[in-house]
Amino acid sequence: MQRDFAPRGVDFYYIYKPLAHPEYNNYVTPFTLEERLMHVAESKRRLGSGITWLADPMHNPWHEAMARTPNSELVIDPEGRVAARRTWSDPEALRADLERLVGPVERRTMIEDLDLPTQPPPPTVAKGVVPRVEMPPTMAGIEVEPVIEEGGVPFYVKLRAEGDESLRTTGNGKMYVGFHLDPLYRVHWNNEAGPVKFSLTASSGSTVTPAGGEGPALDEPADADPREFLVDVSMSDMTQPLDLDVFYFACDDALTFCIPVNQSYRVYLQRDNHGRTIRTGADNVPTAGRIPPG
Amino acid sequence: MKRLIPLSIFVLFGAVNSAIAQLPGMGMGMGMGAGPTAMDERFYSTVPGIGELVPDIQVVNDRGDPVNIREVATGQYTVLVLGCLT
Repeated sequence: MQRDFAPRGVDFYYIYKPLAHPEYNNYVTPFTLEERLMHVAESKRRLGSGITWLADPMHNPWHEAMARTPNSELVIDPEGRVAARRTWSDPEALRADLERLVGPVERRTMIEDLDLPTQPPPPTVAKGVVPRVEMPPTMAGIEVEPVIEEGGVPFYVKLRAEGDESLRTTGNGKMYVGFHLDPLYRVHWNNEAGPVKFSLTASSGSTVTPAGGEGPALDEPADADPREFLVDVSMSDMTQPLDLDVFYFACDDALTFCIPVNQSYRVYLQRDNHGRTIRTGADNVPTAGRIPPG
Repeated sequence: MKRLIPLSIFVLFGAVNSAIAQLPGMGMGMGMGAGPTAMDERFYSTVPGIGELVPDIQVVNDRGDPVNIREVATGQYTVLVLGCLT
């Protein structure tokens, strides 16, 4: 489309937004703008397209303005006014729009005409070593705020938290705590170094049971499976966060470093409206229990 | 049979929505099923309508430098597509 209509003066932009389906191809939600730009670079690498990429800032103003849609599309006229809009990008409808606005092209570009060097997702070490947790019903992502220290190491492992409907509406219910390797950092769990350990602290009058945990001891020397836990939470004040501290060894796949890491989060019980839903590939299956995006 | 290049192919790696988004007749914002989905309704009630100005919002380029959407989308026809890795 770009090849056909750019010569007629049409500009094309992709705008990068929060992940629609965390875990798909092992990608996890970035915590910083720098990490979101790593996702942009990864998208460039995988797609090989020459279209210009922009990125929504971390407070997602463009995503909000587009009603939090995952793949919406606008055509803007030279005066900056909307000429066409649709919830889902649709190549045929877009082509019809552009033909109407700037005229048809003599020959449509076909996929065979392009040399798009598309690439697979990053490889990982062994997966399927640690069984996934069985999710209770009505689980959905809740707000996670990483405590980012200036000069600190990246969040090689990223927390995803979910709560069931009861937890999100009353403060009493089940919470999922999942630690996921970020594939863009090319790291793995080094099971000979020691398991991930975490603790949860609630405000006065609230309880979390259990208030922590640690990953399993494994014979497999390395793997890339998430470390997942379910806890019962009873919060007396839903505006207060749970404090989560985690310790793990971050070990890169190139075997150039293996370092102990302590990091912290604040977990809020409110629904993460940009967190979207898990849609897994063949190698990570648990979709049951998750509800559609709101 | 030759296939056309979907502008949004990157956003939908392997997702069911990829097929749905490219079905004939889906271009007016209809999702699954015969009528508008909740997402369609949210989109069409939130996003500026035909003839209205594109939102005046600042995003960033791939180096992290600020970019104003209204500025880059003025002066020529411009296509803006939301997407992500998953």
